Amino acid sequence: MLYGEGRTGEQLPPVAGYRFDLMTEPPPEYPEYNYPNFLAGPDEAEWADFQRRMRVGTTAPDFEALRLKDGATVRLSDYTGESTVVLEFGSYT
Amino acid sequence: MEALADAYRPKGFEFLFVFTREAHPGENFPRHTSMEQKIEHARAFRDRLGVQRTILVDDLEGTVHHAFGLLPDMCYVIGRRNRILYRADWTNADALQMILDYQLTRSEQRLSNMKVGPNYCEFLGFRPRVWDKVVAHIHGNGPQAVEDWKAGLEYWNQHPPSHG
Repeated sequence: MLYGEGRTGEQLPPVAGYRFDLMTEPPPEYPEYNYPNFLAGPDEAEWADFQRRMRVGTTAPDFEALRLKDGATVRLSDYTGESTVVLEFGSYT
Repeated sequence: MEALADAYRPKGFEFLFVFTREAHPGENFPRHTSMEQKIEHARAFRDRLGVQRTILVDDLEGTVHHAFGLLPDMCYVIGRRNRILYRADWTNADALQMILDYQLTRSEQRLSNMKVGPNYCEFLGFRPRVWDKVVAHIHGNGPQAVEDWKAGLEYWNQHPPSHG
């Protein structure tokens, strides 16, 4: 079921409808950031967390990261000063 | 995404890809235990999948990933002074293209001195679910990744996820 489907607006939590708040038991959590095995379930709490912060209109943290092509340490503002930035997250797997 | 990046880079957009923890680790691509290994995986991601977008490798502890939310395939559009203009729990090229076109319209309005003020919008996207591609890729990660994926599908059958 997609979130929001089959529910009325009145039943939705303030931000959007997510099952996390309706669960009687907390969803499983990953024991560590670099988990050895994919596990379905922890993303439920992560999604609820995603809903609560980093909202549109707010300021993104000016993070530092390593640029793969040259190994330079760059900041987000190195790019947002010049262009509008599309920031995607992901991994190989 | 690569085609979208090619089409919109000349229009003034920068495409950055933050390389995070492995979402579906397997024997061929296990979890990261060192920065060197994470960089090696990022190179494999770039070279094997032909990624042209600028790849930024997050640190081993996932500092950037934690800051933006821990979902595996999020997408943000960020403007001047790091203001968040758009975000999605899952990257969807169609929705993103709509937003980029909207930003271009805004730029034109700004150039024509039209007075505009911010207004907050939300919308529910519908992303394509191309399971065949997902499963084929997970097979490449190794047998363990396939087993974990199957277990995940069973879990989701019992506990339908709230999100995309």
